[in-house]
Amino acid sequence: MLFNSLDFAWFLPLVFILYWFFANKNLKYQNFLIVVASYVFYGWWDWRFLFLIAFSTIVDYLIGRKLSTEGRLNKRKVLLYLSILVNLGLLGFFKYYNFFLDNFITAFKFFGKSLSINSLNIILPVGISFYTFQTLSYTIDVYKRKLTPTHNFIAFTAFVSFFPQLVAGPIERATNLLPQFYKKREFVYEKAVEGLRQILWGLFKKMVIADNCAVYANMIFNNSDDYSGSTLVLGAVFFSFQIYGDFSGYSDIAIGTSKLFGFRLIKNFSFPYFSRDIAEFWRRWHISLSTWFRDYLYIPLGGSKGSIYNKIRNVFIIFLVSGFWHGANWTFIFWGLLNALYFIPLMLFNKNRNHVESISSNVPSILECIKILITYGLVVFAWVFFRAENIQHAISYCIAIFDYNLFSLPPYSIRKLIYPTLFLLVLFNAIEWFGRKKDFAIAQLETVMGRPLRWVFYAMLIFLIGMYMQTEETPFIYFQF
Amino acid sequence: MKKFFEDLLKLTVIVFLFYCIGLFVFNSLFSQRSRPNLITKLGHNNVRLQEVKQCNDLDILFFGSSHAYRGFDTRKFIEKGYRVFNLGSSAQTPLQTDVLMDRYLNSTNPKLVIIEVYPMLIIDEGVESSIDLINNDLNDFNSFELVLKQKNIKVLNSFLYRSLHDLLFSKIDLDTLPLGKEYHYHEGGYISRDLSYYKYERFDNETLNFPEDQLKVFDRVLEKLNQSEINYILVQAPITNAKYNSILNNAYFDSLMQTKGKYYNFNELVKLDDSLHFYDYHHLNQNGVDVFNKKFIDLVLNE
Repeated sequence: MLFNSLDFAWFLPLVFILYWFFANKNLKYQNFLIVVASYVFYGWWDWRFLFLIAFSTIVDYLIGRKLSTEGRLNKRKVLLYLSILVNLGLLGFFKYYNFFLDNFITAFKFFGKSLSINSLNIILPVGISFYTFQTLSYTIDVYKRKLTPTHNFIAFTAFVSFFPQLVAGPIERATNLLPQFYKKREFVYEKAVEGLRQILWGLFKKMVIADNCAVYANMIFNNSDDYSGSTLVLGAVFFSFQIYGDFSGYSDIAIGTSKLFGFRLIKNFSFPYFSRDIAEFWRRWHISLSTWFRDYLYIPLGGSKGSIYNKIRNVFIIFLVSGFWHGANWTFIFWGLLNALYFIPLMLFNKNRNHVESISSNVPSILECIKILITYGLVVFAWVFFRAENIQHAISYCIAIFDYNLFSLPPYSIRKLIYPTLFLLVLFNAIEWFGRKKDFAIAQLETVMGRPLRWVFYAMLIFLIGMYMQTEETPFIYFQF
Repeated sequence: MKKFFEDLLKLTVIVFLFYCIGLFVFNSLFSQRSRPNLITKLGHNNVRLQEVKQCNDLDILFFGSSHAYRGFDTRKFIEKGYRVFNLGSSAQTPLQTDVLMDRYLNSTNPKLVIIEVYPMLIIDEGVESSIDLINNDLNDFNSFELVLKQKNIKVLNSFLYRSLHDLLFSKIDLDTLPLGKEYHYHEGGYISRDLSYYKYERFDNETLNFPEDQLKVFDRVLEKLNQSEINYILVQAPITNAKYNSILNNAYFDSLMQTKGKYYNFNELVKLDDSLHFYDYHHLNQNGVDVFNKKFIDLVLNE
């Protein structure tokens, strides 16, 4: 079920009413309803994958319980490895089996041997990368004794399958989300209103910004041989806003929906395109995944401590794994590699924590503008690899950008179409800029606008959605990961 | 909680009002390209729909897509002494045929109904045709039903705009796009086009899956005719061989239509040349219309 579908437009109010009017009597009912709603939500795509998520839930629940009684380090390690093996095994099979197989076959061919193994027709279960990491965080935290294992199976199932963030995050930590299932939620007007506001902003990002940018990004990337350098740059810029609007829009809807049910999820995006260097960008982009890798991979590897060699190695590992997490394609790995190359100089010169706070003034200095533009340019360049069909396509795209037409105007056939989208992008960035000090761009409306004006603003957003949404439901990009 | 729902209700009212005002503001300020989901001027159907209101006791009433209103030359039928009207409309699917029948079947009181069936339109959602109907005819509960069935924002916006426009301004003030210079409207709803010829293009082969819901509506349309005791004939008008042969399950479609009533597939019954008798891959030029109509009258009506 897509957040931007009519199905969800019925599903959400129905679950909301059941939750606050019928399951409100006690905690068990509330959690049970969330489990049922989450399984319906997930099963809407393909009910067969419910068995997979149920299996993952049962395994980690049992391992967690066993860890609570097991004192011996060796046994505890075995249990941890078992959880990692099951979770990453499922992920590896569904997501990476064909990739490894194809690459083995290619490698054998390179050495003159032919290997005849047929690839399997595997359907990737939606959101498997997200809930796998979420359950892994639980087992690892229990193993490290940072978290008391739960004995409440329904609460744990609700934590793993919580429908707002099940298929595309934010990847929640058990330490943050699981305890919220132990306490009965009470309806709070302000929280619910804020949730609705965030959902609206998320829908605007997805349906207006991302989906309209996607039209042109797809048009240009799919026919990149036909366009000049300037048009290819435009295509990459459109893709940058497509992926940002799409993914951060999803996160906003997920977080907003959670607020409607009395939950607080972690922030996943913090206005990344206003970053002044790549390190700041990575503190602001897909925060739940970046911090997951930081806590469960980078720091255990030694982090930024140790020799220069170790530091560089760790940065490469984390970015390569992050790239690979996105998908079984060399383009994602190269995208990760490119970001590692951007990041390493900052780390080596101790500049990676120069910009921890947002720009305070509403009018940035010229130097800040230049830094933002350079960082954005680097990010956009890396997105070319993320979006391209394969490495050859990405390289030919990048080479074609720097042809003699780079400073010419895109063709009239493109220009005549894009003006409404460019206008929407300017409006969107202005709202984001003035709202950048809050959790999401329009969170500050409560304080800067009176109710009548605020409601007119909401009406304007809904009107723009009605005017510019695509007529067909478009899935979120991150569902494929 | 009570306050939450009260505020939500108030907000819904505000949003609705703002939305309606916004439709008029956007329609006046921006061109069609800048407001892709608000289509307020489409088609030339209003001329046809004005004329059909004057018709009664017809011999033949045609329904169908542009293949109908560009394929059945009403002049040829009038010459032969038939009282005919062509109620074809752009990309008409069974959904819109159903609405048009509800509105005009009783008043026109035809002896025979010809329904042009084009397989590509049985699989179409019918958005274009719904917008055409909403913009070019007066809206009633049937239009609202169309909005509910289509679940398409463009149809909804057109419906809201047109309903409010009709309510607030003149009911006949339909700002429809004029026909292109090369097109000519003729009495009885036929549209001819200056003679031009089709240039060959290649089509990928495809197998069409006919959705159950469209077929159900199609059955309902036929059931209405049966109940009214009006004879009907289903006709597939000719398209280019290039396109026709790219559809791999024509035989299945033929057998499906044969179960629904008397059916003629003129792709199989009349010999036409792609480059001489068509102006695009699925529309006959006047040469093609002449050949097709002669064959149709000989084969279907004289029989």
